[in-house]
Amino acid sequence: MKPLRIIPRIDIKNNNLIKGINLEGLRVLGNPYDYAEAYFKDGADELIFNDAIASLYGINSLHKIIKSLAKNISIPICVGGGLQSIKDIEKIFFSGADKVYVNSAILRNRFLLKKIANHFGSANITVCIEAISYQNKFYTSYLAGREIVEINPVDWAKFCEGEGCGEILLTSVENEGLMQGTTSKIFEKISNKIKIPLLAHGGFGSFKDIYNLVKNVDVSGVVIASLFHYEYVYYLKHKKIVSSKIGNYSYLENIKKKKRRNIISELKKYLKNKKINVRI
Amino acid sequence: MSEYRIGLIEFKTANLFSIKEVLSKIGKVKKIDNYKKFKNIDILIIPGVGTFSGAMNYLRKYKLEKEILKFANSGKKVIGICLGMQILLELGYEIKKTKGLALIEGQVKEFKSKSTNIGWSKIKVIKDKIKNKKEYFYFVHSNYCLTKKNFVVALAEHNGNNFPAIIRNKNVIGIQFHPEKSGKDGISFLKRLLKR
Repeated sequence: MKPLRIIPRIDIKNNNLIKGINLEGLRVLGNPYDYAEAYFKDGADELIFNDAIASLYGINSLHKIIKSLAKNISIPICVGGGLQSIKDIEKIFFSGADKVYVNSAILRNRFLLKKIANHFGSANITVCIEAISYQNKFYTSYLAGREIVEINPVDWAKFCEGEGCGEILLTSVENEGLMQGTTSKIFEKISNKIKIPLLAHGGFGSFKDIYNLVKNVDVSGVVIASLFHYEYVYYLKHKKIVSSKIGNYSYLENIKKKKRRNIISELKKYLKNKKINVRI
Repeated sequence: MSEYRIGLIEFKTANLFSIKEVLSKIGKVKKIDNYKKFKNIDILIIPGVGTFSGAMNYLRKYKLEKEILKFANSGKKVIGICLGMQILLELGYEIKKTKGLALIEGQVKEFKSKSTNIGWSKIKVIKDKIKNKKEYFYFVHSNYCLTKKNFVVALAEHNGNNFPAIIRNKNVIGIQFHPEKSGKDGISFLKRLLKR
């Protein structure tokens, strides 16, 4: 068994790191560079960058940020949000991304995924699936949970695997940002159906939430935002914000500095004690 | 030698950014995008993101294949990383059956389980004097190199099966993982490999 990958997810809007609830209600938390660097030093296995509003406008604007990050961070970087074409993806790879993920573009055009996978090689293409449940039925969504299509995420994952994607990143939209744990049901269903790696995202609020999922469900990695951000925000808040014009800053203005805690290393130690294989 | 002059084959589908950053900490990096640029190079790096057939078509289109073979035959070090390792072999089947550089005997096959190998693994050195420090390296690939045992330097494991993580035929070396993406361990590995 390979070690479970611990993957911080960094959502970006107007060059700032932001965090929402259910992918909405975005709050500015600081400078993405500071967080990325801190997570790299703390032992993250990979980083995910999401352009939080790109798919609304059809442009991913993370090139600059990725370029300067890739200089100092020598762990894999996965980038997504608003990637619509081979050209878009090429640009992101050239900026220093190692993997990309797609979502809305391939829901709009069912022939695109195969084209992309054939062009760049399966291993580098991840599909992000937003799963959302309503009256005990699961649906697939895009545009950060705004648009819902009547496709079962399990069928969609199976389809994407067949079209040649190398990995699935599954977000449980209704758990996302709440930090109250996640529903293992949908992760379990998908992990039983596919052979490619599955990354679980959405709702992890404690070490125990993570353990509860990974002890039962065969996931290749866990993708975490709030749990890490709200720990690091205490001592990264004094650092300079990238652009201070747009966004909700009230949270940031009202928190006090706290002592540093290496939450990723601590999480790994915790999991290791519980006999989960992690890279330490 | 005062400074290593490292040639880096430029593929159009690859993330060359990270590997270039890391290599420039070791020596002077020269990007190679046409066949005239092979002069004054001590080590050649073939990186890789993309597909076997895509990469080989690219090398043939820009007349880089012959120059790579010439460089390898001169006895200077050639290092292929990930897909760059796979095209060192004779044959690949990704997308369509394609001939490789044939610098090392063998073929590139898809994992039987059809599952991508993504993540960190330790490697098991079975030959050579590469120090095995029990480091973790980052792998991301869905095909692997099937070659003769005497070319295999180190193994890694995926879904219970071993596959070559490092292969070598004299001065030609292939690495399946991404040292440039394997944190500090990866960079120190690359340094050791280039300088030995």
